[in-house]
Amino acid sequence: MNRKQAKNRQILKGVVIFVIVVALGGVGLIATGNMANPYQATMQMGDKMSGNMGDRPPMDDATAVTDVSDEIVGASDVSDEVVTASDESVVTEQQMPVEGEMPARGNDHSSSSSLFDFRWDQVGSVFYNLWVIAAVTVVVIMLSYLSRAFNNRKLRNTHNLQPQTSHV
Amino acid sequence: MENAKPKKQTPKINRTKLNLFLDIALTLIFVVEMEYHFTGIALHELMGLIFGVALLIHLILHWNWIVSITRTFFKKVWHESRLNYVLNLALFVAMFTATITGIMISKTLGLDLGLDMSLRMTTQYIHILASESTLLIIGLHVAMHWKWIASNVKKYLLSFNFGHREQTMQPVQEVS
Repeated sequence: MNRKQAKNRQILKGVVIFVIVVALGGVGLIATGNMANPYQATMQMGDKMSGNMGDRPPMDDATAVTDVSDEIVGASDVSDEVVTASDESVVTEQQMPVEGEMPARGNDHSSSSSLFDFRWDQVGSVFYNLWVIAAVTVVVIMLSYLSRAFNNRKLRNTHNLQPQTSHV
Repeated sequence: MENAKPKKQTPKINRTKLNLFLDIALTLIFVVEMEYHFTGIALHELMGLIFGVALLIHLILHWNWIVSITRTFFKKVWHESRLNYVLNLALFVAMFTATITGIMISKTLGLDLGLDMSLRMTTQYIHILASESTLLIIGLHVAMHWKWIASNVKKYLLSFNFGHREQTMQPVQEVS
């Protein structure tokens, strides 16, 4: 095996590992519920702008509302009436198209108060962004390999059909 | 007799290494700051500004390439460089739009443009659309340069060699 073949094999090995890592990452994102259409936020925003709130997927806000109300109940021992009242206020806040509020990809939470107050429960969205970049890269690499293989095959077929006869 | 003063040696900057680390920083800043629910609005806006500055440095570092391809775009450029150029232009437009609209609708940077509700919503929509398009175009941008990235990550970040002899791949020639 010459040096070029060894190098190609090494690159191919790297590509295969990368594809496996990206596939596993995708499975992990699906399992944690962080897989979504990259343009989901844009579509939600478009819906908000056109005032078409009813068409939004029911999953996001409903889950967020339940979670928040559960947290409220868990944090303070209050009567059922108070819980119902706080629940309603949360629903109203969540569904109102608030000025300057952008829709989240996953569960929506209120914005942080201090500068470095990260919401670690949202870190899946960051991994999702990284995964999108990696997935696009994998698709392009696969396409380039396929097109190269197709071109090589085409070239081989052309040579088979028209063998060189000009050897002197 | 030699009276010549000893030349002051300026430390040489490894341009490739600088590009690699700046690009990694740009990507990480972007994927983190894109999720304002993770960072909070203040850090999101601050990181957006840092991203804008880092983008400018990236452009300055690649200025020669930009000028040379712009000059020869319709003449004799290799097709991959032409595709690369168009992709980079799209990426620049998307990033620039995201940065400018982000500054326009910022809440914590102390810049209140007094936009009315509908204009603010439209600017916000463009901001989100531009940033999500940027994410996908970055994927394509990374894909176009994956050989360069792989070889330099291996060279500068993962210095172990798995017992193999060091084999460095040459970066893709941009201009034919």
